[in-house]
Amino acid sequence: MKTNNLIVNDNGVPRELKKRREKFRLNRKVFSYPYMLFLLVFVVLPLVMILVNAFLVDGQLSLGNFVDFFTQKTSLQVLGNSLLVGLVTTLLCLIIGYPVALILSKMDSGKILVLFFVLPMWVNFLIRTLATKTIFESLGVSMGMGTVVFGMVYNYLPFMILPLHTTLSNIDKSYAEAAKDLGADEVNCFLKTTLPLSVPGIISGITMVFIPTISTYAISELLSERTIKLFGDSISLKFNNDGAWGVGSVMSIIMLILVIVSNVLINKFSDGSTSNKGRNIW
Amino acid sequence: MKKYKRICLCLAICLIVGVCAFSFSGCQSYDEMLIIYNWEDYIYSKTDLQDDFNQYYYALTGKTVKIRYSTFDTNETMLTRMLKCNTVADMICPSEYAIQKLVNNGLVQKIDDVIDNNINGEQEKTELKSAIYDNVNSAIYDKVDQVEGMNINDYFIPYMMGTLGIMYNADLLPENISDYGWGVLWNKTTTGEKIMDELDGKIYMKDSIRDSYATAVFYLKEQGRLPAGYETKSAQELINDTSPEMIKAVSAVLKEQKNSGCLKGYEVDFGKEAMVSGAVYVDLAWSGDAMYAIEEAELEGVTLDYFVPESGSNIWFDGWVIPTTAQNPTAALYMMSFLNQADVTTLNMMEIGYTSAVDNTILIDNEDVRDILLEYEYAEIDEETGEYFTDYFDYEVRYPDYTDATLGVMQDFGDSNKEITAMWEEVLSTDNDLSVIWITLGAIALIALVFLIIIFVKNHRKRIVKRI
Repeated sequence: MKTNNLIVNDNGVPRELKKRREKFRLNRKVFSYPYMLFLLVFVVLPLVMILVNAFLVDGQLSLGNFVDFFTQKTSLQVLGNSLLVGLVTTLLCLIIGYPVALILSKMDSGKILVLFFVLPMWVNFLIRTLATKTIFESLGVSMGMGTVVFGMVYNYLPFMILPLHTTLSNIDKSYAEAAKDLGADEVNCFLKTTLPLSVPGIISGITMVFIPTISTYAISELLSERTIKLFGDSISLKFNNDGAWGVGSVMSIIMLILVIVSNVLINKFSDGSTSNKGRNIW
Repeated sequence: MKKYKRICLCLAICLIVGVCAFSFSGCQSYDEMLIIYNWEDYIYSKTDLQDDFNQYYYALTGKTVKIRYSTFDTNETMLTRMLKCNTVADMICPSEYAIQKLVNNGLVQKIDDVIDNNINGEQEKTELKSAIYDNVNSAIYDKVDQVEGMNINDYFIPYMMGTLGIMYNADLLPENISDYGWGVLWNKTTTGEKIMDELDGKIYMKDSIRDSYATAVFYLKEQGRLPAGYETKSAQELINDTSPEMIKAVSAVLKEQKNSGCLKGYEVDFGKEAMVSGAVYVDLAWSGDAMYAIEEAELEGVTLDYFVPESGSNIWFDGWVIPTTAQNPTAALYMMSFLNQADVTTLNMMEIGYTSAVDNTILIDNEDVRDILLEYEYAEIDEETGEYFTDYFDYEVRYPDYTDATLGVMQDFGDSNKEITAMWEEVLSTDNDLSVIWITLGAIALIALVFLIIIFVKNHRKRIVKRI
């Protein structure tokens, strides 16, 4: 909060500015100003502009854009499809990622192996996707929903494995040992100790994957030969082709609301869990 | 401390790289600036352009000029930026229907007015006018003039032109494929039968609203499925028709095309490569792109060909306009005259593959043009007789008949644009095959269920054992 006040002072009344200047000292807060400025110009300002645009129709305050969006069957269908694709991608990432993270956390050389999973992340995702496309083409796989889901899972898998791996390797081994001492078999030991303790990792993994997949843009176009349009593509079409900034802004807001809602839900859910360890890493 | 050292090292490396990059970029100062807003890859080498035009401009006005170049990828992107953001540019190069929209919105200036207002001296004015207009093929202005309600001739200087047609792999497809017209893109003959099974999944459409709309309209015409009363309309009227029944009919055939399995997909910039590599056999293409791809393919030993279906097509013109936001209209005018010189325009044609709007009769006999054609191997000199030979200007693809009534000019859709975008979006985004999604979800649910049952049974059994 304090930093916020300082920023306000920065653009604020001269009297206060003078007061501040007298007190100016090079403390740690000062180093955050450049980034605060960046946030203001490139995050807060665009958000405000989207919000304003959403309620403007020909310069008049109106809810027309919302009516336009919600009466269009196409847009709603695209939104539904995107949510479905996001859900499937997240589930697949979890199913593939969890065992991998579990195995890695139990191995001594796990840290090096994790590197191999992170390695693709260092390559730009567009290049990765184009490479995937070329591979599919040379294999003669026909492009469609299947390839899109594959591309999404491939792109977002590291985001699932990393938080899971962090959480899993931070779990104290003595819990599992104690469970086994008390007579639990392998399955029960996993279900009653490791799995509940790794819930925070699962949650942050889901957040990391689900939210970006709803808004995915370009992956779907590239890996389906543009036959599948997801919500992100739809928004870009509205802005670039139609010049319908109002409706485009409404769609962006809907996406933002989805992000916020899923974040709140996930946070609520994770508050009830036993441990918050590892969650804050992401 | 070690940490700080590392951070400092990283920052230092970034700084050094940055400084090097900056010093390489050069800092020559210029008297004026010219902002060009153009299509991507639509002019010859930008560094050469800077030097050549600077020299040209200096010789005529005694001032140096720096070109700032920015690009757009579709007319719609450009229009959005001009209509909504008041983007500052000295000259833009949109297509004719986008020019019409700019004119209707009062965003561009009449070329003659700009000359009168910015050039001093009567002689200079006439000289500049003749440099700008004299070389332009007047057939283009005539063609646009015939279009009712277009009224853009005073505002633009034609730059490049071309047709819309079908590019196909002549090695794999029979020669008579052009008989099927636009139906090739649907893999349908005029009687509604399949042309050949091999074509399924080997056809590319363009992810471009205007071109797909025109294609669909002509396909409807070939199939005799135009809405009642439309059969007698000209190509010109058909591609610009936005009546609800027409939109409905177009939407129906575009959906048919998407769902019949004949399409590989939609492209905007992968078409040429896919044609050369043999990934697709048929592609909706503009003549310039097609000529370029045909030459590229020849080097790879693949024969491509291009045809404009007889039932009708679109002929388009891209031209330079001076927007009202222009800050240096004088330099823009000189740039237009520079680009319309025979040698510069030929260089542009060589580099980008499209047909210049400069009259080809002027180009054929020009010495500089001949040299450029030789350099780019479009012409040759017979070693024995020393005779110069080129067939560059004879290609019908490159120089179509402008007076042909089956070639229509696109006009601004106006207010109907919204409905047509919605239609296109519906075609592209609905009826997606979601079976993969449902199967995956089902499989996941099934696995989860089996898992739960196993656990349940296991625990249950234990309890029974305990009880015993």
